[in-house]
Amino acid sequence: MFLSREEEKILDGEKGWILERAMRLLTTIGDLNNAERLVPIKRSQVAGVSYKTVGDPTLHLVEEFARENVRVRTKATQNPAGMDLKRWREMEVPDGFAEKQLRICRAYEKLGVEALCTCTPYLSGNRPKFGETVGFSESSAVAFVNSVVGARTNRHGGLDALSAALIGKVPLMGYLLNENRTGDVYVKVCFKPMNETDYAALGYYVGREVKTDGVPVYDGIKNASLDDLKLLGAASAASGSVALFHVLDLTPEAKNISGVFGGKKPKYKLEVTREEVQSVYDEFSVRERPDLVAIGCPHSSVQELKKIAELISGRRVKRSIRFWVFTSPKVFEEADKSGYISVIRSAGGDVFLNTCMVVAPIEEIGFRCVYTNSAKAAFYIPRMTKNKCKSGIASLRTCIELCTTS
Amino acid sequence: MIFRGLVIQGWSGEIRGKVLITRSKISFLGDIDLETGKVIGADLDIKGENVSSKILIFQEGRGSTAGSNVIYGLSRRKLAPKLIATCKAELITISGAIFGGVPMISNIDEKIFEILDNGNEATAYIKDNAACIEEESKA
Repeated sequence: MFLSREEEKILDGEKGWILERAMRLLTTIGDLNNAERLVPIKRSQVAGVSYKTVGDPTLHLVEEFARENVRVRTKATQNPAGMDLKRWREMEVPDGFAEKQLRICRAYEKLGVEALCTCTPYLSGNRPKFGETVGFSESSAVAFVNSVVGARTNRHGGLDALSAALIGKVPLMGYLLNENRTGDVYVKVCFKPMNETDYAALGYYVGREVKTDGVPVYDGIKNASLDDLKLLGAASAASGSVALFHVLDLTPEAKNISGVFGGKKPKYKLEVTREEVQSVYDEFSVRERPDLVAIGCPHSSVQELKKIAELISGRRVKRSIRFWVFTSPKVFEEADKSGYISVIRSAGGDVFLNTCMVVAPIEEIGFRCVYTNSAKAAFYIPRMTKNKCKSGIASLRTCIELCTTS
Repeated sequence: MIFRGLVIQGWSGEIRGKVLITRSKISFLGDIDLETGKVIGADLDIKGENVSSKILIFQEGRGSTAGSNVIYGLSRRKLAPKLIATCKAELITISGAIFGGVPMISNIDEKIFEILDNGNEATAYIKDNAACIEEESKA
């Protein structure tokens, strides 16, 4: 890799051990991927924030960094924490957990990474432009900004995203390059998705089937909303590692079939019928009744909060079940102005910020079965609770019917 | 049989250990318990095993980008694999291994899944800048 004189100096430790370590990581990654050089970025999304997911080791690492005089050189935002940073007591998060969580968020803030704590920074003040190169972690945000926004990022881990934010650069490689952004898997959608969860199930199935670095191109889902694509992308980044997908006639880099495949033939084809999608529903079917119905993985948009308010209006959340919605600060503000938040709350539900059902300590709070409209969340919940908590998926409408009475 | 690969996080001398091998993709967040090193992921054929002190061989990473922090955390807790060997290295696994100082190699030929089994003993070493994994002779 070619490094500038200034970059060499950082690598030699002239700007301190933290930047040296960050630069070493970026150049190692660059060398492994035949990157020509580093390129500047203005935006970052840093995963590795919830105390539940990263524990004491990352807490100590970030605090160690924060004690030194270093700051990020990009607009950088934190991924979801393990709780609502203000209303964690209402979530019944244990005090000990909360104390550690606040320490992690404060340490990142000291490094200049804003405690926005959302997985949808693109809906809440950290939205890249079409064609902009960024350094994002958070697999669902990577999929969304690459595919739906048309920005360019590789699928960074939390630690390399932090390193890139501190240096203000990323190696020029992978999905930053035109030649790697064309499709290679043709996905024929042979069923009509009826709701957002059908899109999530579709993404989940495709994520598992697509091979390494595969860029799926969906054909046949022209009417998907941004929320549908958000759930689809999140699912295929959880069951697999899809960082970029295209939807013919819908996403910005998929204007026509020959362009999206870069003039080449697809490497292979997948056909997804109702049967494949049903297999995903079957995988996440549970006999138990839920004690938590949770929406907002990835964090809900204003449109989604509006839909929830419409569906729940005039109904009442059952005493035996909690209904929780998770969203980001700016979206909350806007939805609150439109009155959606108060509709949800007065029906007996609640809306929390900064966290979600995947990264909050739901098993410590006491939940044993969660229903959600997100295949990503359904995938992670048993894993993140060491199988103490089961998960089922159903559409938003069914989820709300399940936890309310009219 | 000797499998050669690319050194991602180097080490000195020989690494000897028991093999834990899967063709599956692994998300260190969610599939592996940060407190014990135990494999949790329900759809993995190595569910119930423990990655600690093993030579962990898998296809590639999947899922959560906080996986890098989990690898780092396992290392700080002395629960990391002795060696991570993948067919394809992605950023999440690479940065976890480098930050955590966990020996890692990549670009291993997929034929390794036909040759090695869970519980086999293997040795890994670096020779002429290339990483090598060798099946221990069962003599």
